[in-house]
Amino acid sequence: MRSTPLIASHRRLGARLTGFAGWEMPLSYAGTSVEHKAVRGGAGVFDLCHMGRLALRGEGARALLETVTPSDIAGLAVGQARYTVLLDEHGGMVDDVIVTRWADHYHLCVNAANHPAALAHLAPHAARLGATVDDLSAATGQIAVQGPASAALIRPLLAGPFPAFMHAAPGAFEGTAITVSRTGYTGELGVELFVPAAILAPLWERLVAQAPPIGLGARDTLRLEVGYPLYGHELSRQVTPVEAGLHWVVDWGRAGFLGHSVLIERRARRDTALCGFTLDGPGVPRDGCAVLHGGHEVGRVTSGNMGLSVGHGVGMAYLPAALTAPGTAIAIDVRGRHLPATVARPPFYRHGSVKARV
Amino acid sequence: MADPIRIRFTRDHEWARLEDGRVVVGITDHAQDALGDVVYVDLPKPGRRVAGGEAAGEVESTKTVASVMAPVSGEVVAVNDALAAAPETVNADPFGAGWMFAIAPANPAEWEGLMDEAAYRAYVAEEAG
Repeated sequence: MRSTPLIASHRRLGARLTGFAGWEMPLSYAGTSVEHKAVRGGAGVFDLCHMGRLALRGEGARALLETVTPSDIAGLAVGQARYTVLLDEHGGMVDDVIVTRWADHYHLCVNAANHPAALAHLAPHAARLGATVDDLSAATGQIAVQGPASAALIRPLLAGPFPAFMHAAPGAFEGTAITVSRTGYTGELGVELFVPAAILAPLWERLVAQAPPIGLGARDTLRLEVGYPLYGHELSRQVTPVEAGLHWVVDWGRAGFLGHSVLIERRARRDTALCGFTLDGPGVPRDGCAVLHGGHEVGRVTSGNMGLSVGHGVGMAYLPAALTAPGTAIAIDVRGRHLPATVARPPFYRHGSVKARV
Repeated sequence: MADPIRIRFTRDHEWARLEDGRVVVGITDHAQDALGDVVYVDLPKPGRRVAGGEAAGEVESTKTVASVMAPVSGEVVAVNDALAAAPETVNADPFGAGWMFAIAPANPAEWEGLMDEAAYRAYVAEEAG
């Protein structure tokens, strides 16, 4: 197992550590609930060094992205970021990623668990289309600063104005250039910082002196409460973006990407869809719990937990088309107890500051 | 920790305390620390008869769920309703305000089968390997 380069700091900060996608990472420091509420109510700092960071270069870089993702790549402005998915030839999702266009390359942030798979998936298409894939992961680090009060921590790092939502801007720390990307996984205002390894530790120390460090436990409860999917839970090679509620990432006016015909066919069929649900009463739904309707199992919970800011159980599940309307009554089988629940459109937590004007 | 004579422990990390002839039950500090942030506690209804070692309740954390076993057999005579609104009390004060339920014991001999504090500490150390 590899350790994050910030492991010594996490130990000093009293982190409880956990294995995640082959990495030893902080699970929590003060406790998941406290950390969750710190991000919703103020600001928190996340170590995301485990994620994969790639640079796609060369004449064929755009064609590569137009092949492996279904999104509008040509329409990206320099400095603009876009959430999208890597597709295989069957329309299955190899990973979900953030792509950012720069003047001479595209930056791709991939999930730690899918880092090798993403590289393997990109390689043959890159070779064919005249693009190179540089793995920047070891030479760089990644820190997120998230929360409605995060701007005060971020502004000193910026050379110019605060980036707009889903845009990135150049910044600097102690004279070293960094990238400040207005992206995140919490539903709150904030950025992800992409930085050279040499300044990673001093930057982390500076930030955790101003806001609490947040572990992977709260990262998961924060993302679930705003309905963001997690690869391996909501997303996999077995589903396409159409069923996963990610049809909005698809540029339906464009062809030529892997899985295009499958996506067209799935869009016409629409037999199942990823849905959110909330528990009507007490209890905590968990990944793998059966979803019931009329006494029959109609799906399985892909992610479930207590919504720490909304105060009731929330989750997501793939459901048949007839049951996807918000307000539909279902039940969740939590260890034999059938807890009444209601289909609801995420975000469950509706006061997020993610698009706040700064 | 409380008076060592009157507090005992289970292998499932509950504590049991004799108070006025009733056995008050909660989970240990070790258990709450291992579970992480408690977000929901499901407690038995008063009047329910439980057997020693039977799951009488559940405690849910942000990470996982665990059963709360009845340390001894008997009738549930009180439950800590305050935990419904403030489950985090189990983390903050596991031996005090985080108590879960009380049993009127049916068989006093069962009490003697529970671990005392020294035995429980040794058991936790052994589990940690």
